[in-house]
Amino acid sequence: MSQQPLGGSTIKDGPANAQVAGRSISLSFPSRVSWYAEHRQLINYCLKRLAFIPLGVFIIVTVCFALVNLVPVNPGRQILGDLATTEAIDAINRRLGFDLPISDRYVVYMKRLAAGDLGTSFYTGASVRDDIARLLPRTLELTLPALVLAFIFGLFLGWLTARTPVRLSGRLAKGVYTVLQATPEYVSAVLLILILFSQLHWAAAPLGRMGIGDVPPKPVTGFLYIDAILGGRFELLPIMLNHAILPTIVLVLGISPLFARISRSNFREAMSSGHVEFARASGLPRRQVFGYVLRSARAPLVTVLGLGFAGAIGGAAIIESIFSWGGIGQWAVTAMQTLDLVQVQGFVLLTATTSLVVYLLIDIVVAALDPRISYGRS
Amino acid sequence: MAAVSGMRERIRPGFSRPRLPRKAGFLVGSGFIVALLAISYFVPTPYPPNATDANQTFVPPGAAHWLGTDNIGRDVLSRVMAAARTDLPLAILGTAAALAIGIPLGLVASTRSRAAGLIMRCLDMLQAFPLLILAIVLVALAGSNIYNIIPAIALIGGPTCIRLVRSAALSIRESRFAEASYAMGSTTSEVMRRHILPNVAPNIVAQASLIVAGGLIVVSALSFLGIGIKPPTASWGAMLSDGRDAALIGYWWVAVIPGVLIFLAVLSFNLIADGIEGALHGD
Repeated sequence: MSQQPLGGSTIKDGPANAQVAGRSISLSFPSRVSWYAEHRQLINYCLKRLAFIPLGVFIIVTVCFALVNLVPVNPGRQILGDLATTEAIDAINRRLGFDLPISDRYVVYMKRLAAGDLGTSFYTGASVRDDIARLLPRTLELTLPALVLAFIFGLFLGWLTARTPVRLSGRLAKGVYTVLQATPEYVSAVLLILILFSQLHWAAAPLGRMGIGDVPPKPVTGFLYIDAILGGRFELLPIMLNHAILPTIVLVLGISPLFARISRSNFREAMSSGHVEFARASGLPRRQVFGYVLRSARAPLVTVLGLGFAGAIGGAAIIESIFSWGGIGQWAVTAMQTLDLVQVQGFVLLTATTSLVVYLLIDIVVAALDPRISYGRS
Repeated sequence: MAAVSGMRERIRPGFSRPRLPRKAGFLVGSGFIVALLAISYFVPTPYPPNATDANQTFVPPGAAHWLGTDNIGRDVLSRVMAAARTDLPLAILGTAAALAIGIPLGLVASTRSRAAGLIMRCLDMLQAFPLLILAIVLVALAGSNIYNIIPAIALIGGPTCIRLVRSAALSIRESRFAEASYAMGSTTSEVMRRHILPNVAPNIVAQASLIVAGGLIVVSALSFLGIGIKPPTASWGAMLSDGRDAALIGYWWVAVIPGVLIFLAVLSFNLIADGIEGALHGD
């Protein structure tokens, strides 16, 4: 009788692989192989995906360049208006580098980007990079809390509709979901302002982060909440929270249908799986059953939460404009309305690069969470 | 009969009931859209949609102006009717463009050719871009021609259409009748035309309805921001945006009516898609 491998020291190949239905499924045995050997596939997968980032960024940068340089907009004419003379327009275009052939412009653009220069605004002359650094925290202050609340609310809706589709609670949840899904954010924003501010006077005016007379805190981090605390301006916090309520509600109502849809279908699938049915049949408490359901549905939930994060920068642009929030989204909407090409370019670059990185992180987290996913092929 | 249905209800409460809302939803949704199109195209507007009247500003809904007037005395009813003629065709044409791109590319992507790999790589790449933002940017940069919105909707709806057609085609290709057709000497394109396309058609129609709903949201968002559709042209999004200031001082109807119409139209297209999906999956 040959010697049985005891412990893990004799297993060199890491987890054994089985081919099931054309998919490679890793069967990990409890063994004392090194951490690297155990996670080798996952690490290789991560490295492979990370190697894709430079290519992705290159394509994004090139598309951003094309976006601005291939459109039929004459920057000089745009800046100076319809009454300007041709000489003045040509002078502006020369100063901005728009008189060069497109290949030269591409080289200049890439060189500047490599130095971290995103260009300067046509109208204000402000550096796009500084604007983004200054305004991005303000947007995140709105979108991140809204995202968390929307996730909780969406999961709640999804759970209600998946658990008891025929009961009253399930039908109500389905009805709420159907209405929310058909209401664009700008519609609910205008209607809620009309009801909660104009008619009932419950909410603060949709005119920015604080009252008109309030002096904003000294900028330190860019996050107004943190700056108010650091500067000892605690009286500003309730005012700012009061102004944040309405836009947050609108965003939560706008994003939660996505979470509700994904969680509903995955909860349903999880609830019909063997271990959950057994748990219910055994009479385990509802909370514990929900825990099992949540566990089996975690991979798609992480994916969709990640999608929410990816949209957290640009996703609130219209809401920001309606509520004069003063973040990066409102800045971008103004840039699009005034055709400030450099700012628009910077915004697309920012959102696309963020999405690229977030999607990559999602893939890695999901691969780590779900052992059924094969890392071999992308 | 009554006893049987009673028993069934006792065993699985409400077993047969969930069918009805779905069907009703489909009928209500399609009925609303047909009525909306019919009214806006065949019923003459009570007033010229862009005619202003300085003596009739902010008239509340009543006998002379059924849905009231706005800040420069334009009739809201006439304007929402005219706006339906702008917004709905744009969303529908955008969807047609998305399908015209999505169906052929989806079919090609379902084959084992080199082009299929290329299409899928391009889709992966496109996924990195926030498509709604990219679409708004494209319309903003391409100028104030409203027809620029059509490719923007196609850009948003096209990728989902390609993925849908591809995955459906992949599963149908493995079925017996498709295999039998191959065995009898059909070429790939024949199998696609005779077997795959007819079987994917209901899914495509459901998806198309969702793309129209999404397209309507995009059209309204653009006109809300004043990008693409310029002021005198009536559009629900622009009317909603104009009505915001009026709403702050209590003239609710200027904003609420276009807002509710956007909601109802999007809801209707969602219900249509929902009804078709329900019929396909048998629940």
